[in-house]
Amino acid sequence: MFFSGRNDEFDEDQGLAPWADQDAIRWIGTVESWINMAILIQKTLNQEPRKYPHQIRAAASLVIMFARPNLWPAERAGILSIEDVAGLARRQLAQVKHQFSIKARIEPELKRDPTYRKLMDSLDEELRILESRVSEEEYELPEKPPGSWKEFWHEDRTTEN
Amino acid sequence: MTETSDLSPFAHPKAQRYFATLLERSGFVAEVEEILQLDDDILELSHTRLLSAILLFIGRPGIWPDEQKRVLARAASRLSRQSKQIQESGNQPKKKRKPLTLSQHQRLSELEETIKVELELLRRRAGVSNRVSKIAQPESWGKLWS
Repeated sequence: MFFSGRNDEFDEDQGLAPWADQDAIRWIGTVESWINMAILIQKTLNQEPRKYPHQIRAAASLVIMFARPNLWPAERAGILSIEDVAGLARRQLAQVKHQFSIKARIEPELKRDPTYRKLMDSLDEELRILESRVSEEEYELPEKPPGSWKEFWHEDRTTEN
Repeated sequence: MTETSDLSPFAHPKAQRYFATLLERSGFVAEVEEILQLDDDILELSHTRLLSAILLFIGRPGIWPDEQKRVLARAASRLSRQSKQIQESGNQPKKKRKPLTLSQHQRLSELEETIKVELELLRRRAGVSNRVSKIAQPESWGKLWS
């Protein structure tokens, strides 16, 4: 970090994001449960989308949050690279979306349901974000979380069930 | 499909059970509690900030267990205490440290502002902030979603 909190050291070349600090990155790589979490997320993403759509979408949301340079523990054995985990999440989430589309084909009234449309729109946004992590091309995405995530930082509500 | 108006990936009961299982099986919540008790010479400010950033992502309704909000509050308290090191560093007599350049002063000030936002976000996640004004991620975090 620019300021390490140790010996008043200053390093002007580092960014100020919490994951820009090399020492902190090395340290989080030693936190066993953080590595376990990455492994478990990968395992979930390898499940069958028809059987576990909500779990796969949940795991893909964590990939959206964590699969960024220096944060995702890609250098560890058994852990996919950012591109690979984002690619896996994208493919599986696309399958989840496909399952919801099949359901709407069977129940056509679903297609007229605004809730269904909003869900599909949010899935598209989640897929586009994952695509941007995989693509070598520059993506021009709005700098905001997917629509259904609402005010991600400001949110202060209890989740409805 | 969820029957509620909340269509986020954090709302469906199956997703919430998944997050709970993930946090339990990985041992993340328990290890974070242990980490937050470490001395400052082991858990430095930069480590606390990175841990807090992860907690900011997942310390939210639907993912983080309500009964473990105290862990978020502890992290906020630790970040608050350790961030004072920056102010203390700036207030040290000049003979004790090398004088800062103008750009270092500016960066130090940016860092202070960044941590202030991180701290407020974490307090809100922990439910220990009374503020209700709209808040966004710190600017220095850069592009988060693309």
